[in-house]
Amino acid sequence: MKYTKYTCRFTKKTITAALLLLTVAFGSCKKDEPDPNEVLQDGKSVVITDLAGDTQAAMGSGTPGKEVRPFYTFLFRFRDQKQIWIRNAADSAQWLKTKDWDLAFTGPYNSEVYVNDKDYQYNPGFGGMAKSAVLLLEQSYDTVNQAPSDQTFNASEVTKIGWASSAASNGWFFYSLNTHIMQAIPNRTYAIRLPDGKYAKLQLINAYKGNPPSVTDLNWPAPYYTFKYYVQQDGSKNLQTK
Amino acid sequence: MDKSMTINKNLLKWTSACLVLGLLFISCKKDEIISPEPEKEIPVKTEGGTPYYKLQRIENLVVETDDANPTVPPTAVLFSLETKAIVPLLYAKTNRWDICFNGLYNSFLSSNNGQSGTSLGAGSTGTGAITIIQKPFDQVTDIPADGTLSITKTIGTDDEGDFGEGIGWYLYDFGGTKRGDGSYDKQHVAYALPEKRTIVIRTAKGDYAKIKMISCYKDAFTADKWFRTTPHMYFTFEYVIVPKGSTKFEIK
Repeated sequence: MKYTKYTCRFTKKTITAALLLLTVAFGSCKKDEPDPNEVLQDGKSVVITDLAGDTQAAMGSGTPGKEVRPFYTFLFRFRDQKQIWIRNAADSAQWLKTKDWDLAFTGPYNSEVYVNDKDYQYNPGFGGMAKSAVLLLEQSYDTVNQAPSDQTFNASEVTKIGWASSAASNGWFFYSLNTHIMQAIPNRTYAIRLPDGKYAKLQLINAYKGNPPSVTDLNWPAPYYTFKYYVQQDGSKNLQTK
Repeated sequence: MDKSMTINKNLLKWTSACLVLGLLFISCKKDEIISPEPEKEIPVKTEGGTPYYKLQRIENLVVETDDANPTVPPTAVLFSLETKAIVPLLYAKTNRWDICFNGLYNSFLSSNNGQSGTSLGAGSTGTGAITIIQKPFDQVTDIPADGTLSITKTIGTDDEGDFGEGIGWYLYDFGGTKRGDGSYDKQHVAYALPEKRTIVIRTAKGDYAKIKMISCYKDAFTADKWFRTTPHMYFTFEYVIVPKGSTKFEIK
């Protein structure tokens, strides 16, 4: 009986008021929702957002305003976030074989990332001076607190961080040849041993502008890289950032 | 009377023989299918034995593909170097197969090893392992040390091409500019690299084989005949298998 009384009380007015309240509540909730890039900050890591790759290149099928040509490689340096373009032989000669870069974004949409390694023939730094090693850790960035052992780094067979054609590969993203959309694989963090012996961790987060959680539009502006990394400066294996 | 008796007797004999045989056959078959314990595995009887020391060629080994859904993981295909035939997936946990064609377009090759968590033969008696050598087939004469073979590795796209995963047996030309002229028809072509890549495999039973991957296109065995729309995946490859304990890949 009591229940009927209550139902009776739900007049149109109350419903409207309730709806209004709900809308307000929902609205404020939305406002409280953090910026997708703000959550990446942990006070220690370097967060790079929307670093433009070679946005002028296209692979085939004439996209207006883009050139049909291979993508220019760009290099990235951890210590000062410098982006270095390799557009021609002179650029290659000046930069590739030096220790002045840590990551090379190569291949289609700059999506295939190398660490600087003089010993691997397809590495942009092949024959140069830098010896880095990289390992895939299947855990989220925040939970990686320790760099793996040197033996593990020495035995690493990861030559590059790029497309993962299957869950067993070491890449950072799945790419559907059907929809042509890239999707970062969750819980993949890369531990890096740098040429100077320092340890770092890296997460590649997105290749689409604005770091959207998922993309359905093939023409969403790309490649714009969002990634974060942390280099332990004291030489220890401590990679804790949270 | 006597005659009909004999006939009846004979008939009875035959019938019972057939029955027994039938039962045997059924029970054999059942054993093969279930065979959870490795010791129950019955080795395949290959006519004339394993084709050791002879150059073998497999042409157009066809694997079903779906170009509309290319990244949907396809069904793995198992192949026996001993019988030169595809082995039904039912036998994944046996040592009857040596190479698994899996992953994207079934283009990633791996071995049959019971100790490997990632092998389709996990838990089987397979003792397989795999590696790839950056030399043409004819120059690979020594069997590499077992320590250099991997029980977990998958071998597919080469880092010389796009989306490479280490050293592989083929170069993927995404934009058609690495090997092609950049035209539409030359985009998304997979170039086998027989001129500089040889796969070495330890088979499930411990023999060794070297494999030259030649093509993944139907009836097209050279790069000039490979285009985006050439029917695929039709694996063509050559190999030599030598017995367990060998140190050389000899052709006799």
